[in-house]
Amino acid sequence: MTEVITAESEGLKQATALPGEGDLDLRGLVKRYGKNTVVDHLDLTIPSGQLFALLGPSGCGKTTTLRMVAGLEHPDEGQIHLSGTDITQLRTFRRPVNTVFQSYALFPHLTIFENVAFGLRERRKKDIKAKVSRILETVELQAMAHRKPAQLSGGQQQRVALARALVNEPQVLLLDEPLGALDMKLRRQMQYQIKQIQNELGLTFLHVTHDQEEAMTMADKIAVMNNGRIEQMGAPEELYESPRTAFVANFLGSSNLLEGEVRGTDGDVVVTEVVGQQVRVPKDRVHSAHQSVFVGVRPEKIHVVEHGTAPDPSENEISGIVLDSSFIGIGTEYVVTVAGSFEPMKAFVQNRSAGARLAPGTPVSLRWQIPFTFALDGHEDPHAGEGSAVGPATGHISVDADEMSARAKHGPRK
Amino acid sequence: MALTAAEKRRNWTPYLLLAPMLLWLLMFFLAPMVTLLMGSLQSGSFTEGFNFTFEVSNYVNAIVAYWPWFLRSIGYALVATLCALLIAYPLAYMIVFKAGRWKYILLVLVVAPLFASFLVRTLAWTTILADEGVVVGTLRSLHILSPDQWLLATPVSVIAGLTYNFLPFMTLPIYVSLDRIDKRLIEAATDLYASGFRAFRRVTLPLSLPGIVSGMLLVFIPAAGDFVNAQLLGSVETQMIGNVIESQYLRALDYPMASALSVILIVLIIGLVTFSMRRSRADELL
Repeated sequence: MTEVITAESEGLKQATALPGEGDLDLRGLVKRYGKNTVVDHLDLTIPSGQLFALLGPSGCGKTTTLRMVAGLEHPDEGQIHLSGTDITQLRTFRRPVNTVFQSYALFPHLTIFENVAFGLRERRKKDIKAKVSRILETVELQAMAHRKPAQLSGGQQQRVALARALVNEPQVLLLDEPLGALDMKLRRQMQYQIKQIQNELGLTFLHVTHDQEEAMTMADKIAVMNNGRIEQMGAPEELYESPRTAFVANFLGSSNLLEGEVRGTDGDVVVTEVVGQQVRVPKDRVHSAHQSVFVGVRPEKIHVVEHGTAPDPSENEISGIVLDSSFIGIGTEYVVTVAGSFEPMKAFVQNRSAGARLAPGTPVSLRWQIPFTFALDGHEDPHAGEGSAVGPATGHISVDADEMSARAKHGPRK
Repeated sequence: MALTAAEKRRNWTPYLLLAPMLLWLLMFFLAPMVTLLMGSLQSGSFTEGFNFTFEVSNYVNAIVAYWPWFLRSIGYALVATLCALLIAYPLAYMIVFKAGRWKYILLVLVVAPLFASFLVRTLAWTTILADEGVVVGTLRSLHILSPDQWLLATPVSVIAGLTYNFLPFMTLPIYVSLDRIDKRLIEAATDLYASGFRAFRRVTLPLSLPGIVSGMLLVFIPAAGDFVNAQLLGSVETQMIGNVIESQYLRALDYPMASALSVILIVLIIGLVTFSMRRSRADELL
């Protein structure tokens, strides 16, 4: 499915991937439903040719943002520019963007071929047959061209929805939780294929998802959204390694956040005191204007050693007592109580060394490299964004109950 | 091999389960139809008694004598069906897409006339369409009707009555089929460059066709056999086949002729419906 595109789509690539052109620019976008502000003064620039993910829990305004770009919702304030042109007032059907809907929204009365040809026919394009066949070949559905959507599996319907949007060569392709209804394995496969298609066509993709793993796997750049605002934006590694807010720290993977106080600086590190122990944080990873901070570290950065092992000056160290440990195949997760902290710390240790697991009650030192430490504003809610997603260690996908029922109600008919 | 008692019982189970349904069909469908058919092949008179003589000439006589009434019935019913469609579709569309929180109130209003008697409602139209009434007065003042023209006792009033009386049966199926359409399909159409009208033409309308077909059947079939509207709103010139059957049964007391006319009407309606469904391939939609 991947190598087919290259030759035929060369012209398309050149036409749409000119640098600087095709940027999608959202300025001060506001959307209210009654008293509820769903999107709150959102500023965002999506550079041409990127696979950009809008990531956030359900209700954070990400889908509303996407629908405003599509023209299916109208912003109360702000502008949307595409390639420098203001498209805020442009009607949906005049915008050079296409959407892959979460429910796929395939036309049940039309064949797969006609579903894909829909946009081309509306714009009275030539060579419809050739274009549709080519895109159906790309998504490996040529054999299904004369079937109706109801005769296809969920994964096939998803690919039809993708082909139906892609065939129009939109300046921006909008993907609204496109893989939400697929099972884990198929979802992985589609993540890869969508990324491949995006790479080869060089189109701008705006991908809305609540699945942090999916966003990190696929996107060049991620904007994490919460309560209608962007919490942080950056490359997946950047967001994961250096979260700026508790929400991002907890929503992307999971984090240990411990209350601490800034005590001073020492060269390019900030020295903090956490539960009576010194923890050093690189200066550029401190995102707080206050004395009080939350000092954070990812569970998988920590190694657990028995108490009394000689310390390493390049590492931070906090001592505690093993409360619980669980074996999860590729690793072991320890829960360690730390004197002076209400919250226990989590450490994820890969099972690389032989030897027994540390039994509950064992006094241990938790150690990690100083560059892995980050510090957040101490006035934040340290649990923000928790429970809305599941960390990569456990790997299940959390789906909100309301989303499930919405899917049951409106999902593709079988 | 001998069957055990349990096996014997099991063999009978499907028939026992079907029995109520079969009985129902037998009593309320098959028995009347057979009686009607038998009756239509009888000869004799009310005073001397009717005998079953396989009198096929009843049919010939019925067609020869009454074919204009058949034609008129079919014609009126067709026009009424089309009028009902033209009124009901925009109405149902508005209720589904534009009414918002008034949706269910409007839906109740569509059904509300059915709570009043058919006769009373039809009689009310004699007042509405009367020569001194509002409609005629307005049309005359707009010079659409000249002062020596009227509406009552014309085909117009009969068709208006038919349209009015069967309108809910057109509105409801169309409402259901429109309401069932996933609104996101219309969004998808506009996302794929279809204007509001084009999205209606290519998505909404085709997806509501099943409702249109059911509505047309539900209006055409009873309208073709109706006699109340023609009787109360029409004249001798606008009589429909229902009126003929009614008078043959109740006034002329010619039961064989009335039965033959009924059978012809049934066959005619079934034939027309099947033919037009096949032609428009609408049978695939239901």
